[in-house]
Amino acid sequence: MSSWLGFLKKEWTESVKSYKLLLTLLIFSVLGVMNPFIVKITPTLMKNFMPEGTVLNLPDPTAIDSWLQFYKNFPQMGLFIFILLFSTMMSKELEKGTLVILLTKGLRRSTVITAKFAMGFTYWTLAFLLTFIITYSYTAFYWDQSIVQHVFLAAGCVYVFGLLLFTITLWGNTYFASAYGGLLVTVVAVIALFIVAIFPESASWNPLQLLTAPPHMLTGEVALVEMRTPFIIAIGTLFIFLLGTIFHFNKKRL
Amino acid sequence: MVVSINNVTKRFGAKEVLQNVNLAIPENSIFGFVGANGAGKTTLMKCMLGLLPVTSGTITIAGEAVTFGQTKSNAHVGYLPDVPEFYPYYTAQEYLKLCAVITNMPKRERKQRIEELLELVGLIQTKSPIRTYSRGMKQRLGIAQALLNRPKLLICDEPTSALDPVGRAQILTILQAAKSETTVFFSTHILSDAEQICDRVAMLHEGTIIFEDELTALQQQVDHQFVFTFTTSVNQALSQLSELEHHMYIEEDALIVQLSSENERLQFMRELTDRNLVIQSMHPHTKLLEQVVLEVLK
Amino acid sequence: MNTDLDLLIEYLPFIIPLVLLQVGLAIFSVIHVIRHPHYRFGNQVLWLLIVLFIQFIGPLIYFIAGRGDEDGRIH
Repeated sequence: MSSWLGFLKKEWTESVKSYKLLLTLLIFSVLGVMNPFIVKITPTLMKNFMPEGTVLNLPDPTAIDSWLQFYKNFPQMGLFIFILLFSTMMSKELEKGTLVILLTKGLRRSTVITAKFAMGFTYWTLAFLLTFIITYSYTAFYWDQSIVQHVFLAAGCVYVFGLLLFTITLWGNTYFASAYGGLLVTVVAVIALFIVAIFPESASWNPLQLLTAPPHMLTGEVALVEMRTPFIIAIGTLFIFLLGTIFHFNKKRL
Repeated sequence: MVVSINNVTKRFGAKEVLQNVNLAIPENSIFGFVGANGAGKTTLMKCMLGLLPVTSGTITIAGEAVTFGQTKSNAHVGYLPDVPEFYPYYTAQEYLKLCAVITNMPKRERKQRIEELLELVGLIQTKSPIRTYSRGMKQRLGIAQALLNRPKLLICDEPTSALDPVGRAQILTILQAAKSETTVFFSTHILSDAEQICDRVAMLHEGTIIFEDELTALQQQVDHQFVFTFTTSVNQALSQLSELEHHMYIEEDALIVQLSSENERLQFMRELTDRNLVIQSMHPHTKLLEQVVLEVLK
Repeated sequence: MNTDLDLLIEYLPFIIPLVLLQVGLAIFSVIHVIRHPHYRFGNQVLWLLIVLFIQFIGPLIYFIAGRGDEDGRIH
C-alpha cells in the first residue's frame, strides 16, 4: 500500500510540475463561466449586430439554454483538452524508460496502471466538478432552475462517459507505447460509437447515449430508465479496458 | 552462487541472440561481462531482471527463480541501465526517497541510508534537480539507487562506456567499494575497465559464452610470455632459434617466447648472444585481456 | 453611453472572474516564457506575443505544445 501511495504521490508531483494542475483549474473554470455567459450575452450581441430596425423575436434565455451550452462545450472542448493533456501518461515513461528502474526495485506493474488511472480519475473529477459547480451557480443565480429535470444525473452521464474515454486512452497509450497511439484508439472508438449510433435501435445500449442524451433528459424527453443499460455498459467497458491495460502491461517487454 | 544461468536461449523472431548460455556468479565478487556491442549482453541482463522473457532455460538469483513480468527475485537485485532515466523534476534526495518507499524500506532507516549512498557516489552536496545533471552524475545516481535496498546482486549495464576518463575512474572506484556488501555483475566493451577491477571475467560472443574464468587464471594463460624484436627479420630469427625447446611463435613481426623462470630467461639470452642475434626491443606480453579475446576470436 | 455602462454592470459577475483568470494567466505565462528560454519551436518574442495577445488559447498552446522539455534540453 505504501508503495502504491508513493507512486501516486510521484504522479501528483509530475502533474503539478508539468502544469497539468494549473491548466486543468484554468480551462475548466473558464468553461464553467463561459456556458452561462454565452447564453446571457447572445441576445444583446444579436441586437447589436443586426441592422438598425430589424425586429427580433428572440425568446428570453432560460436555465435550459445555459445547461445546453454546458453539454455542448464541456464534452467538445473540455473532454477533448482533458484527453489531450492526459494522453501521454504511459507513453512518456515507456519512451524514456523511467519505469525500468522502479520496476526492477520491486514496484508492482499493476501499481503503475492503477495509480495512473487513479490520478486521471482524480483530475477528471476535479475538472468536472469545477465546470459543473460554476455553471450551476451562475445558472441558479440568473434563472429559475426548477424547470430543469435531472440536473445532477444528466451531468453524471457525461462524467462517466469521460471516464470511459480516459480509460480507453490509457489502454491505447500503454498498448502502443506512443503518444499518438492513445489518441488514435480513442478517436477510433468514438467514431465506432457514432457509426453504431446510426442504427436507431442501438440507442437502448450504446454508451454514446451518455453523451448525446443528457440535453433531452433535462427537458424530460428521455426518461431516466432509458439510460440504465448504456450506463452499465459504459462502466463494464471501462473495467474491461482497465483490466486489459493491467494484463497487457504485466506482460509487456521493457 | 548468487546467480546461476542454465542453458538460456533467447530468440527475437528468427534471430538467436543468446544460445545455451551457462553462467554462475559467486558471491562477493566483481564479475566482468565483456563482449562487443550487440553481442547480447543487455539482452541477458534484461532476462535476468524479468524485463524480457527467455525462450528456454532458467535463471536463478539468490535461490529465487526469475519469471518474466512480475518477479520476486528483483527484491535481491539492484539494476543500473546503460542510460539511466530519472524523473527530471526530482532532486537526487527526492528520487532516492521515492525508491525507498517503493522498496518498502522502514521509515527510520531511509534518511540515513540515503545520505550514506549520496556520500558514496559524491552527490551529497548537489541540491539541484536531476534535469541539470551530467551523464556522469546520472550514472552515479544510478548506482546509488541500485544499492539502496542492499541488494545481493548489483547489475550494471555498460556503466562506464559513455563517460570521460575521470567519470570512468569514479564509477570503477564506487563499484570496487560496493564489492564489500554485494556482488557486482557489470558489462563493458572496454576491456581495460574489466581488467582493473574484476575478479572473474566472462566473454559473450555471438550469443555464446566463449570463456569464463578468474581474471588471474586468464592472465596466467599468457603469462611469462615475452615479446622480442630483432635487428634481423623475425622469420630469420625463428629459424636460427628453432632447435630451442621454448614455446615460440610469431605475432605481428615479433617473436613471442614463453620463459617460465628466471633461469630460462638467462638461458635464452645466452642463446641469443651465441647466435649473434641483436635485440631491438623486449617486453613482457602484457595486453592480457585484449590478447585473450583476440586469440579466442581467431 | 448610459446603456453601455448598464450592460457592463449587468455582466460584471462574468467579466470579473474571466478578466482575473486571463490577466493572472497572462502574467504567469509571461514569467514562464522569460524564465525558461527553451521552446520546442518559435522564439521568445513570438511566445510572448502569443501568451499576451491571444486570450486563454495562447497560454494553453504554450503550455501544451510550445514549452521546452523539463530536462532543459534545447529542441
